[in-house]
Amino acid sequence: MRIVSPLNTATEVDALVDAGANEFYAGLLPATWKERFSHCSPINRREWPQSNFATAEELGKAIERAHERGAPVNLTMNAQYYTQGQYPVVLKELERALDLGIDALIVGDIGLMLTLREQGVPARLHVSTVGTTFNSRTAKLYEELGAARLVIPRHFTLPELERLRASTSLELELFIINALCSFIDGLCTFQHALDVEGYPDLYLGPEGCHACRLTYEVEAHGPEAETARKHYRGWKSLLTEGNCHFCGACAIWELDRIGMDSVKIIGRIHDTERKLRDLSLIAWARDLLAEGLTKKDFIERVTARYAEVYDFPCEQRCYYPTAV
Amino acid sequence: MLLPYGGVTDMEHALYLSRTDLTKDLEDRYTRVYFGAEFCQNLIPTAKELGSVLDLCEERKLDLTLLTPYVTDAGLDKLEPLFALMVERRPGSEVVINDWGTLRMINDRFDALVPVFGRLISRQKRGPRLSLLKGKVPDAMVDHFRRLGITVPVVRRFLSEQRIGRIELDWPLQGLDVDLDFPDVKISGTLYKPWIYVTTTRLCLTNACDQPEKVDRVGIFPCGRECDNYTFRLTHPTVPVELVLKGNTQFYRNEDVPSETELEGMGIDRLVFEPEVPGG
Repeated sequence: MRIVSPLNTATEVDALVDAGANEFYAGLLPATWKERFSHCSPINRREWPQSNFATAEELGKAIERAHERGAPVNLTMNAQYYTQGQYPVVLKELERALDLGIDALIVGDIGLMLTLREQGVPARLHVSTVGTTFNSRTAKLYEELGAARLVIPRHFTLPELERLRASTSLELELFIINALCSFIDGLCTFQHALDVEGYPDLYLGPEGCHACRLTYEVEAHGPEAETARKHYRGWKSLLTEGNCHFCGACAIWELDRIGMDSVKIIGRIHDTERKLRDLSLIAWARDLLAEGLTKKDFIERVTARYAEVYDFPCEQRCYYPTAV
Repeated sequence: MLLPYGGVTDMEHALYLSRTDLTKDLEDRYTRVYFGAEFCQNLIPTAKELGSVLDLCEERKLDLTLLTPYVTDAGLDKLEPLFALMVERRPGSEVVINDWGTLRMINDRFDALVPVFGRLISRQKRGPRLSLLKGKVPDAMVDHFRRLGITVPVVRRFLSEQRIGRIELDWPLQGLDVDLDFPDVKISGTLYKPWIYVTTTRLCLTNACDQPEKVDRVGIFPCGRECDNYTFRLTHPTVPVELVLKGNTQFYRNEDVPSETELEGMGIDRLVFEPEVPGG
């Protein structure tokens, strides 16, 4: 099972590979895009500048070093959609990224997938979680469009994953740690980055730009309205408050058993130290598989490791509760 | 349709049927009904329920559009007998798809049905705070959020190859910049009103919401159909409208929609009226 780590700078490549990363994913927010569309109208699903490489030169250096260490680098081009006026910029950036040696493109928009196929772009295609591959027939469509890997939506049960795994020979990748989106990435129509740099009129309050994470006033209607209101508050606080640290490390035992090919650490916005912490749990858990432990023993060991790594005990905020 | 000032449009009017009372709000002006589950595979109707709607359509001489959600393989299993029933009793009926796998199933096995591109998979941006952008940021950014990705040439040709001739849309607060009069393919538009889809989840917020002992959990759990009895209203000072959560899906209400004549000028020739919040 491969560990796919976020990457923001060339200088962190060595440390991340040493910590167990097998592959990287990264975004680029070029000045040409930012000037014309701003970062708010996204080129990928991490609209913020700090989640992306700012220049192709810096990305190029990171790719070069990663390749020297044997780690592919995949580029996120996974906006939910691109409009006609954006295509020339998108295609120019893709061409430049391929020249830099990008190993795969992570794409969520069917329009871009079709364009890549139509223009014969020689790139390995990974379908983003934005592609909403919930079933085997969707997987088949993406296979026909040239996909080599599918990044599965966050909201899956273990039996559903097993059935999908049995139905396709494509590589399957899952998110394994950090933010668990409340809503389905490819179908959510909220917009993240509305706190546009340089436009103070758009300041959206201290809770920031995520409409999905706001502390709403909640009015419940129904026979047990007060219980329902508390239920909503509990759901919201679990997903968005405190450490907000959803984790699937314990599920790696089951994910390996059913044949998942790679797991992805979320956190392009995190600094190197945080990425290393996440790797020191996830890569450690992956390597623990080699000991052939029972599921129960594996979970016990991983839970203990979690507390050591993060300095707080596992909160049982599980990415894949049905696998634990 | 006769307009108040005496003009006439060719706009088709459809009713989004209530799950609990099929004939509620079913006025004579409606020539088509929408029925099914747009947001949750737990709510996909049974063959018996669909049969009742097919009976109603025959009795009232109504056209039928079946709504389908995003689905796992288990959801596809539930849809299959419904499609077979429709082919048997009402070939030529429409199916709104919100999942590429469902579209493939229809085209592979049920080509007597007509697929329609649903408003979830159409990926129109609808977050209500997008309406705050106008006049404060570059026009290119505002324009992006008023436009569609599915009408770029390569996608609309692909959709046409997949037998898609209709796309389902909302009129969000920031408006919509659309003209479906394309030189290469024929695509019509449907507009839903007044409830605008915003977002959906499989980590259902309404699941077990009446059970105090199940407050602190997030996941995909067996459904108790709590959405039949519960609705949540969400407000926040920085969100310009009230959000309504029904089942696993959020909406807001927008009555401020262009006239039928204006909509027809954009290629939108069908209105779907939602008398109730459509989720759940």
